[in-house]
This record gives sequence, structure tokens and C-alpha cells, in this order.
Amino acid sequence: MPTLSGCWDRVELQDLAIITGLAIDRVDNEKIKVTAQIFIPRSITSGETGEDPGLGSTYIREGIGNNLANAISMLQISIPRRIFWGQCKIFIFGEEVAKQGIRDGIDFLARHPGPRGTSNIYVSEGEAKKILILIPLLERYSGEALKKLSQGEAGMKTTMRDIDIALMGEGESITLPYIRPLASHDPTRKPNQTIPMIEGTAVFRKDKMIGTLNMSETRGLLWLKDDVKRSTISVKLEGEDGEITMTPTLGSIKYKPEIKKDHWIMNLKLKIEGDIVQNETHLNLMNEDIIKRITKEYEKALKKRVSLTTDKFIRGFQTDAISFGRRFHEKYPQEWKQVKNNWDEKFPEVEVKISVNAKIRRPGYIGPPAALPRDEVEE
Amino acid sequence: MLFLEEEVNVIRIRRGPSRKKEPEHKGKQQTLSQDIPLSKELDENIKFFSSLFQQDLDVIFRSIVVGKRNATIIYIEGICDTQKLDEQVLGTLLDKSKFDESKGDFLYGIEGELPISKIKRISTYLACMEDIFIGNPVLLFDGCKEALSLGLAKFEKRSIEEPQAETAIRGPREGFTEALGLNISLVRRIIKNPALKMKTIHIGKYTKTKVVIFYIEGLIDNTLIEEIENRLNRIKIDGVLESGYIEQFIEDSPYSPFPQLLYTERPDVVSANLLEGRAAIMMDGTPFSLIAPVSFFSLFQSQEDYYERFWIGTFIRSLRFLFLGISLFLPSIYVAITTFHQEMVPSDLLISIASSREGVPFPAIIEAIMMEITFEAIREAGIRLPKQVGSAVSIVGALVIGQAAVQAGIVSAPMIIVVSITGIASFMVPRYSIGLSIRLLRFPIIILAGALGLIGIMLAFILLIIHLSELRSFGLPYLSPIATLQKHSLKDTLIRAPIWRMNGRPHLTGEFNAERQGTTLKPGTNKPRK
Amino acid sequence: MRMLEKGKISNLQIEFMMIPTIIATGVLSIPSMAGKFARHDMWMTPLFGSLIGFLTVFIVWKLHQMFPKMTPIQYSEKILGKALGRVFSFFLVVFYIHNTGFIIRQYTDFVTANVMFETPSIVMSICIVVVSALAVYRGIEVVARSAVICSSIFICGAVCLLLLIPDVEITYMLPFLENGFLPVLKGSFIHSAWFSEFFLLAFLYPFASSQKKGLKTGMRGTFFIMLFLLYVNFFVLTILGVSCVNQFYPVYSIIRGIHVLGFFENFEVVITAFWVLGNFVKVSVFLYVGCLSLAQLFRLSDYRLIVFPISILLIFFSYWDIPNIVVLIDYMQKIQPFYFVIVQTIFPLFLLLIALVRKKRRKVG
Repeated sequence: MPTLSGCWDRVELQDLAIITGLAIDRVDNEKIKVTAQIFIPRSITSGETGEDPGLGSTYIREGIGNNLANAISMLQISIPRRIFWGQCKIFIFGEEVAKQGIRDGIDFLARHPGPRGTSNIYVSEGEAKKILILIPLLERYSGEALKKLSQGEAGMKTTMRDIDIALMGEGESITLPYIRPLASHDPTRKPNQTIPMIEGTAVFRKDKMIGTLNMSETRGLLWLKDDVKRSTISVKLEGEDGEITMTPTLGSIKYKPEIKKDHWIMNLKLKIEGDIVQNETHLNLMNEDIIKRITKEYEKALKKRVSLTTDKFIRGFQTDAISFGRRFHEKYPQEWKQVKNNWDEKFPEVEVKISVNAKIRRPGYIGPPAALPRDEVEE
Repeated sequence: MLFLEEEVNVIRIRRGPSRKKEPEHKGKQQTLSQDIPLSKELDENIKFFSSLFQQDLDVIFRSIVVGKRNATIIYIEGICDTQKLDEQVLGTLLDKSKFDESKGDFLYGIEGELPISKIKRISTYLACMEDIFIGNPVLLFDGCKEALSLGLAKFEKRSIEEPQAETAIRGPREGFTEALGLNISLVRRIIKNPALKMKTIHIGKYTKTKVVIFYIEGLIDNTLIEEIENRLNRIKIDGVLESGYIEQFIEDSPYSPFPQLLYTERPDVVSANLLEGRAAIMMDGTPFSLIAPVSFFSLFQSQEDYYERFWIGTFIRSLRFLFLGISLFLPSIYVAITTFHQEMVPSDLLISIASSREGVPFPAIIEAIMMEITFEAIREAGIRLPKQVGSAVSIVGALVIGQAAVQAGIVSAPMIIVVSITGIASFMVPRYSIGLSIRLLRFPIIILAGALGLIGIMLAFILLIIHLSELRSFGLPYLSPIATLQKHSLKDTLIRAPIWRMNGRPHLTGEFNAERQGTTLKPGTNKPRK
Repeated sequence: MRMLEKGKISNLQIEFMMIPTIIATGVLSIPSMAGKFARHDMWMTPLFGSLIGFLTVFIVWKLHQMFPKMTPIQYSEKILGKALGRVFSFFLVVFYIHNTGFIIRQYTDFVTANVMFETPSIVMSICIVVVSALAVYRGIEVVARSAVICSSIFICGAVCLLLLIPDVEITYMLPFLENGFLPVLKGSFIHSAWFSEFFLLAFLYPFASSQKKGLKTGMRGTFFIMLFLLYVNFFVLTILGVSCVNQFYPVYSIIRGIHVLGFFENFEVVITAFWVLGNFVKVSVFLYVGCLSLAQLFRLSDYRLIVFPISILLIFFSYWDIPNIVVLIDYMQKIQPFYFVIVQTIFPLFLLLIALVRKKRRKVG
């Protein structure tokens, strides 16, 4: 019975090393160092018998090789069990590698049958390995913390498939979340008992990293990607002290490319709906006029935020990581054919016009400012 | 005379080992396959019968004088109604005044006097013996070539009670018993149409069991009845003890693990199937009757599906098919996924399973087979246990052994869960026979899963489907109506259409009288359905 | 002429049999091949490719009407005369057996590349051939009945693509008809290789229980397959964009990305398993046609005798001819459409014309 004795593909669960995250760094300017975060199954059960939870449920191993594939086979040599990719959803490129180009790494990840197309890719500040040695307090491993952050409020998510499509597409540039370990000031915990945090965005031209965006620019980028989360916007009204802060509940963006006699314009129509969560002024928010004034201020604020980001891309980095090229291609295929090969030069000439339509749905639970005597409330 | 002979025989037996040959018996045993007619002489007849029943304590010979003739009643105590025999037969016969030779046919006169509802005239030794064994006393007269068989058979039988193997929440609670006459009466009570016909056959050299084929004329295919009769007549064995014997002799594919006849203990199930154009085979001595022909999906129908309303019927039936899949494939899927396709499991679950499998010495497939065999053992043992011990063993077996095995690290906890769910799922099947087949088929599928993973399971599934596709039950394809795609019978397989929609009889069994009911039967509306 | 097969199958069963027969292997690679030519407009390609399907069904139906209860092996002799007819039949037989080998090769390539990495592909070949041979040995009725069940499950598996609706980006379909119709037509021609396989209907029609409804069956089947391919191409295009042309198995890639409720992840193995069922139907139908044709050609008494030898031959065929998948895809793009359409549509068209001409001549003369 050759099938029973052979069972070529059969691997018992105890013979698998479950990888939960992979960090790719560069050493000696030539070789690639790969660090894998491997899960310890016994940590679940032994936690009940009293082993030190500070050790975490994962450990890391390294492998060094000429390229990514080589490094991984070196890694396998140092692990007694078979590497199992099915649960690995986090790949982190170190800053050095990102600056030199991630195309080779992405090729391995796309070609090898193990890693999945829907895994998240990140760029870390400095060395990627230090992200993997973090031990989160709530989650089981740092990869899980990252994944949840990506889906969460301020996070940005780029999967391998997105990279593949973007690099193949018209703009040939991508953006990846930029992470670093969150500095922990808790004296009762060890310094590595913390989580990685998304600090901004790494901007690439083709596959090489050329710079970063900070948090506020990243928020603008989220708007451009139509991936808005619940970040807050504060506005200050003229002549008033204090700010009014709003949280968006619905946000969407519509792209309308326009070409007027060789003048390329991208119209962005933004729509935002939100609730007010904090009112530092003395204004009574139950008043319709006041709400109208606030709405106008919000539109201005949002416009400023988004144009900050588009400017950074168009004039700062001069790379089209925001898929403007694709939009132009969709609408004006003929004109696009002419500029296709020089898009890098044409892109900085694109003018961006932003129009915002804001709506304040609810001023919160209360109308007038809280804890203020009646006569101080302004209408 | 008989007494002395018996004593002598007893003494002989005590002296030494019994000899195999008893020449006296051999000499006087007549071969009963021949139809030898009775002789006119009473003494000759009595000599024959007493040599036949030489050592039988319960065969009673009662000699009387009727009118001016000698007569003997031969009967078997125990299966004869001796009270009626005493009062009505002996009472009448011994009254000397009634019987007058001169008034023509003597037997006719006797028949006219005996207040018994069933009297038959018989004229051969064979017929006499058959009647005696049934329990009818035989009345032999001196000078008559014929004897009278009196229909006084009565024996202790189980009263009608709820069938043990097929309980239902809603529906009649009567079940068949071992007496064929009673069973026939139960069916007659439900179907009161002269179209209900019976054909009788006797099977078994030593048991001469009476087997009856029921069908409703006009609804059924006549070739089916002929086929059933031919197959039953082919059976030439020593004895038929249960309808299972008959089933195994007349089925189409004896090597198949799937049953091709349905058996049931309930008269309402039998009647429902008769009304759909099938035939029922009933046998004396067992409450289980057989239904032919049968398809795979009819083995998954329970009569309760029809007594409840159609939403519930559909829901429970779908649930049953779901659990059929689970009981057949769950252990194999578990083995396949944890050893071949680990990426399918959500990460949390994978980590839990990985943790619980640490330290278990066996590979998953061995563990699965071991646990399944243990579960089957517990199940079989549970059937044989006396009632007092039964519950204790189930608690011990399930909880303590399972728990202890997990803690000792011999099996992993997920495996126990898988095996128990499979066990529960296999009880969902309404017919025990096919439940057994499914239990059996689980094991090869686990082995194939362990060899080739999910692809192995699919290959096993394909092989199963191929086998089921070629199976026929008395000409009816086993997988109809789904594989043969008869539209109107599809209403009754995976779902249960409302009863006022089921207008046609199922294909190939009821085709001859396909219109079952009209189309305007939906309650609450008077509009005819198009 | 003697019929070697005494079974009867219903028209609905024929439909159920034909659906996976056509699309089981097609659904794997067609989107990327069509996308190479048609790029953004690849979703339209099944619409035009199906035209070949309708044409083939029509030709087959007309031939069947003229020669009811005969398979092409038998009536080609009548049309073309004994010698030429036998040559043509022999060519058909070799064509089908050769192609069945390719189909098995596609199957094993897919399974070993994605699910069972280390199992030698010959094991997978043997498994599928053994199973199909068993079905064919039992006769067309068994093939039809098992096909009904397996096809239903296979089609249900395709419903899972609907879980990807949140990931769909309609803008990937723009710009519309960027390069005009010609690339779309080129892409559609790839489909015609599969659509012309409807010629297999000619072998199944003689066993149908209702001889008159054959045309409706064939047309309905073609229409359903066209819709199905449209559905699959739409999803592949809107999720992967034009990068789907880089992948060998685009449908598999998008199924890998299904994630609903955090639970339905990584379901591709289940879908692969369902797809195996569809493939089983395809291989058994092809094997049946091959064996029956060979038996009829050589006037054997029973086609079951050769099922076993032909199965072994198939295992060899699936191993030999093509060294790797790159060559296979190349073959499927460049050679297969022409080859298949010529044999399965053009040649029967000629047969039909010759038969019509002969009939007219007989009427006149």
C-alpha cells in the first residue's frame, strides 16, 4: 500500500513550526537576514501550570542567505520542525531593504506557494527584527497586534496583492505602513513587553523607499484611498476660543479626472458625515446657524488635510502612489497612451482641486456646552 | 404402550452415550414430501401418526366414538385452543343423539353440527401434518377418506405494543407482533379496499414459514410482483427465522454495503408504502416486514416527516442529510485537515488544536481509527447490557474513559469531540439498517483521508457515488429521484413539499397510477392550481 | 448498426454531464489566457467565445437528426464512404484519447502545484483514472447519475465566489473597449477550444431518452456555460485587475483571498476538492467517449474490454508529452483553439454539408 506508507504530504501538527511573522533585513550590504517569529503551542497549556508569561508564546530564529529564498532555507535548517506558512500574515521589511528595493522579496512572496496573497506588508523603522521580539500584553504575538491595528481606527493596510497590482499598474508606486515599537513607559513591565505601532507611511518610487509621511499626512492618504477610519478633526471658529472636535462616521471620495487642453486636473469630491464629540467653546450647538458655520470650517479643515497629502506626493515625492494615473487611464485612454511612458514627468504637473461636502449629523448627546451656566452660552 | 416405550428409551439413554442411529425411528418415518392420501382405516392412520410423533409429549391423540364410528382427534397441546376444543368440539361430538348415519354424507353432517367457524376437509397425510403443526386439531374418522381440520389454533402471543426500534412522537403507537394473522389484520384496518391483495408462499424445509406479499392492485407494477415471487420461490433452505434471511436472499446486489429493502415494524409505514405503489413482504414469526423496491432517499424518510407540517418536515429532513454527511465524513475531514491542510483552520483554532495535540504519541489517523473502534465497541456493548448496568457503563465509558484518556495524553480532546459528534450524528438516521452501513463505511474513508487528505475524501465520495449509481433495488435505481432527475418526486426527497402539493406518485413505483390526488387541495383557497 | 450501449439517459442528465465536462479544466487558466489579449475587457470574452459553442451544438443536432441513434463513428462511414470514414473515425478516436491525457495532466498539475506538493503526480493520475474507469465500466447510466450529483456539488462550490463581492473593484473593468474589439475577439478565440467540446454531445445524443429535445438541451447547456464563465471572468478581473495575466491559476488566487467573518479563511482546499468532483465527470465522459468510439470502430462486442487498457494508456499520455506547465499554457493558447475548433466544429460542418448534398442527390436521383 504505497499510499499508506508514503503519504508524502502528511505532516502531523506536532511536526509543524507555525510562523506568525517574518522580518526581512539586510546585513553586510549584500546578504539578506530573515527572522521568523515561531509560535510555541505549549505556551497555551503551560500558561495554566504557571510558566512565566513574560516569556511570551513565541520565539525567534534567524537565517542568513544571499537572497530571500536562500535565507529561508537556511532558516529551515535551524528549526527542527517544518516551516508552516499558512498562518503567517505579517511580513516586515527593514528600512534598509526597503531603500534598496523590495521587488526581489515580493517576487519570492508571490511565487512561493506558501505565503498568502492577502498577507499584510509593513516597513519598519530601522531593523525589522526588533518588531518581532516584542511581546504584547493582550495579544498572543506581535503580529496579531499589528494585524488588529491595521484594521483598527488609524491603521492602514496594504496586502501583497495590492503591491502586485500597484507595481504592475500605471503609477508603479506604492505606500506601505511604517511601524516602530511603541515606547513603553510602564516601569513594572520589561521594555520589550509592548506592541508595534503604525507611525506613518513609507512612500516608494517603484519598489524603492524614498521617504515617509507623518501621522497627519497619513490621515490624508487614508482619505485618498477611500479608507477613512474614525480619526478626529478639530476646527477653530473665528473669534472663538477653543476648538470643536468631530469624528467622522461616513467618509467617501470620488475621483473625477479632467483634461482641458493639455492641462490635467484631478477633481476630488469628498463627502464627510460626522458627530461632534468635544466642544471647547461656549457656543450652543443646538443652534442651526452655528452648526452651519462649523460645517464650513470643517470643510476647510478637511480640504487642507487632504491637499497637504496630495501636495506632498505631487510636489514633494513626485511619485504617483495614489493611483492618479489609473484614474486618468480609465477615463482618457487616448491621452493616457501618449503620456504613459513619461508619467513621472507629467505627474507633478497635475493640478488637484478639492471640494468637500460636510454634514454634521449629531452634535452628540448634549447641545449646549456642558457644565456651563446658562447665561454664558452663546447663540 | 407409548408410555412403556418411552420409559425404555429413557433408560437406554442413561446407560451410555446415545447412539446416532435410532433404527426404529428410521424405519417408521415416512418421507413427507409425497402426498400420500389418507387411508379409510382409522387404525392405519393412527399407526402412521403415532409413529411420526412417537416421542413428542405434546401431541395428544384423543379417541372418541361419534355416533357409531370411531374417531380420533390429533392435536398439539399448547398451540391449540383446548377450551374451545373441549366445549365445542368434544361436547358436540360426544352427544350421541345427534349423529345419524343414514342422513347422507357423514362428514357433511359433522360439519353441520360443529359450531366452529373454520373447518376444512383434508385428504393427505401431508396436509394433516401441516395443519397439526399450525395448531389445528385434525379429526380422523374410521371409514372416511377425508379428515376434518378444525380451525382452533391459538397460541400465546405478544400483545400489540409500541414498536421498540421505531419510536415516534406523533403517529400510531401500534407495532406488528410475531403472529402473521394479527399483522395482516393491522394492515387491513388501515387499507379497507378490495384492491389490497395478498400472495402466500411457504419457505423453509423445516420451518415452513408462511410468507405473504402484500400489494395494492392497480397501483403496482405486475412485473414487480412476479419478480418478487420468483425470487422468493428460489429460496430453498432449512429454515427462515427472520425476514432478514429473506432479505439477504432476494436482494439485487448481495455484496453491497447498502440495504436494498426497507424493514419496518409499523403498520402505518407499510400502508404508506403500499399506497405509493410498493410491495410489502410479511412473515410469520417476526414483527419486521420488508418493503420493496426502495431508494436511498426513502431510507431517510421517517413517517413523522409527513405527520408534521411541511416546514418542520423539511427542516428535520435537511438536518438529517446534514448529519448523514457529518457521520460519514467528520472524522476523515478532521484527520485530513489536521495532517494535510492545516492552513484551512482559523489561526485560533489551529493553535488550540496544536497545543492539545502536543504529547499525543499517535498520528492523527491512528488516533481516529482507535477512537472510532472504541466508540463502536461501547455502542455494541450497550445493546447487550442488562438494564441495571447499562447506564453505569455509558457514564463510565463516555466520561471517565474519555476524560482520563485525554489527561493521560493518549488521545487529544478535539478527537473525542469529533468522535462523539459523529456518534450522535449517526443516530439521526431513522432506519437502523442504513445507519449500520454508514458506520461501516466510515473506516475506509478515514483511511483514504489519511493517505491523500481532502482529495482522498473526494475520491472516496466519488467511489461511493459510483457504487450507489449502479445499485438497483428490484429495478428501481437506488439514487432516484435525484440522480435520475424526476421532477415531481424531487419534492419529497431533500425537502418535504406541502402535502397538498404532492400530486403524483413516485416514479417507477407508482407510475401506473400516477395521479394521486387533485390539485385543488390547498387549504384556505378555492382557486384551482394551474 | 449494433449499439454497444443499452442504457438510456435523460436530457437533463446530459446537461448536467456536459457542464463540468466543458468548464472543469477551463475555469483554471482561461481568465489569464484571455486576459493576455483582451486586458480590461476580458470579462466579455465568453460572450463571443460561446458563439462557437452554439454553432457546434447546431451542427451536431442536424447530424443527429439525419442519423438518429448513431454516433459520429458510425455515421461518418455512411457519409464519407467506408475507407475515408474509417480514417476519420480513427483520427477522432486518437484525438479524444490524446486529449483526455492532456486533461488528466492539467488536473494533476493543478493539484500537485497547489494542494499536494510532495505527492508524485503519477499517484494523482492513477487515482483519477482508476475512479473514472470504474464509472465508465459500469455504463453510461452510472456515469450520468454520478455526474448529476457531482456536478451539483461542483456548481454549488462556485457560489462561494459571491463571498468576494466586498473586494470587487468595478473600476478595474475600465476603460471600456480601450483597444477596440479585436483584442476581445482574440481573447474569445481562446474560449472556443473549450466550447467546441460540445461535439461530445454527438456521442451522447443517441442514448437520450427524448430524441426531440436535444437541441434545446445543447443550447441551454451552452448558455449556462457562457454565464458561468462570464461570472468567473468578472470576478477575476475585478479583484485582481490586469495582474491576473501573470498568474497561472487566477481563479485559485482569488479564492485564496476569501475571508468572511474571520472564519471562512483559507477555503481554497475545499473548493479544490469540489473541483475534483467536476474533473472526475470530465475525465469519465471523455474516457467513455474514447472507449465507445474505439469499440465501435473496431467492431468489438463490448466496449468494457478496452476500458482498462485505455486507462493505462491515458496515464502514460498524461506523463509524456508535455514537460511542464509553461509548455502546456503555450499549447493551450496558441495551438489548442485552432486544433480543437478544426476537429470539432469545422470537420463536422463538412460532414454535415456532404451529408446534405448526398441527401439531395439521392432525392433527385
